[in-house]
Amino acid sequence: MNTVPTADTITQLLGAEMRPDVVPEDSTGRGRTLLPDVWPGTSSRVVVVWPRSAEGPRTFTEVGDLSAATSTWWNHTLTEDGHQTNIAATNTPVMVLEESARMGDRRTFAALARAIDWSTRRPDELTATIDLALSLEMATLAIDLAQLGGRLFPDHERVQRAAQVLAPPVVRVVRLPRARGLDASRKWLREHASQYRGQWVAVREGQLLGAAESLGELKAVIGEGEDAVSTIVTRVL
Amino acid sequence: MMARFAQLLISGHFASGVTRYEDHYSRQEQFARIVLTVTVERYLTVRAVVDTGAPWCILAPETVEQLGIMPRATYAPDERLTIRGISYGGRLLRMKIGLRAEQEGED
Repeated sequence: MNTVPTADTITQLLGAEMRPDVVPEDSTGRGRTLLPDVWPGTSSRVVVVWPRSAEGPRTFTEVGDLSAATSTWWNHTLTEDGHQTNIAATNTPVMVLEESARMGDRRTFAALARAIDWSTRRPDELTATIDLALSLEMATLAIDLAQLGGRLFPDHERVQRAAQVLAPPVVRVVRLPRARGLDASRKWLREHASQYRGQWVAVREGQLLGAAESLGELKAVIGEGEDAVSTIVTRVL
Repeated sequence: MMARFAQLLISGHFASGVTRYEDHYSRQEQFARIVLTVTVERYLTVRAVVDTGAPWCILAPETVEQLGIMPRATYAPDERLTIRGISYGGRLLRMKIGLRAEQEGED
C-alpha cells in the first residue's frame, strides 16, 4: 500500500478536487473510520491513487499496469474543534471500477475489470462488476466475468446463476416439426392485424384462431407440437 | 460448394438457412426492420425484429410467462440493462431461440 501524506500530493497525482474543509457526516471524530462506513460515495476523502512510480497520469488506462491500482489511506486533522478523523482504505480496485462506471469511462472499466485478480475478491464484488458491465452495454465483458466467476466461486449461488445465464451463445441446426402455412398467416397479419390493435392474436394457416388482451388467454388455442409451431402469435402494436 | 460453405459456417458457430422476411412490423411501416418468424423454446412461434448485431433477444414479459420459465433459471442484475443506449429494467434468461428456415426443413 502506498501512502499519500497530503492533499496537495493527491491533487498532483489525480488532479482531484480536494476539499479538506468538508467533514463527513458520519465522522466518528477522533479515531479511525473504516472504509465500509464511508463507502459508497459518502465521502470525498476516500482517494484512490496509483503507486508513486506512476505519478502523473490522470487516466488509469494510460498507466498500463492496471493490476497495480490501489487505494491509500489519508489522515486529516481538523484544527477547529481539535478532533481528528482518520479514514482508512484498503486496496479496493472495485471502488475504481464503480467510479469509472459512474463516469461512463468504459475503457478504464474494461481494462481494470480484466486486470483484477478476482480470486482475491469477494463474489459479490464480482457480481456487482458484472451488473455494472451490463449497465454499460458491455455484454462480452459481462459474459467473460460470469464464466470466470463460475470457476472461482462454485458454491456462490448468484455467481453460479450469472455463469449459467451469461454463458457464450451456442448455435445449432435442428429440425423442428414442419410449420404449416406460415406464408398464409403472415398474409393474414398484413391484411387484418390493424383491426386488433393492442391485442395478442393467434393465426394458423391463414386463419385467426383467437384474439385476447393477454397471451395467456390464447394458450388453449395455440396447441402443441406441429400445431404450436404452425401458430404465429403476435401482439399488434 | 454450398454444402462445404454451410459446414464452415456451422463449425464457426453460424447456422444457415433460407426464409422469408417482412420489412416492417405490423403498423410500423415508417421503421424499416427485418421481421422473421421465430420459435421460442421450440414451442412458441412469434414474429420478431431481428438485429444480427444485438447482444440480447428482448422478449415481452408475457411471452416468458407463457413459457413457464422458472425464476431460478434467471439472473436479475442490480443495475438496469443498457441496450442500444437505452436503459431497461428486466431479467436475463438463457433460452432457445430458433430462426425458422422455410426451405430444407431446418431451423
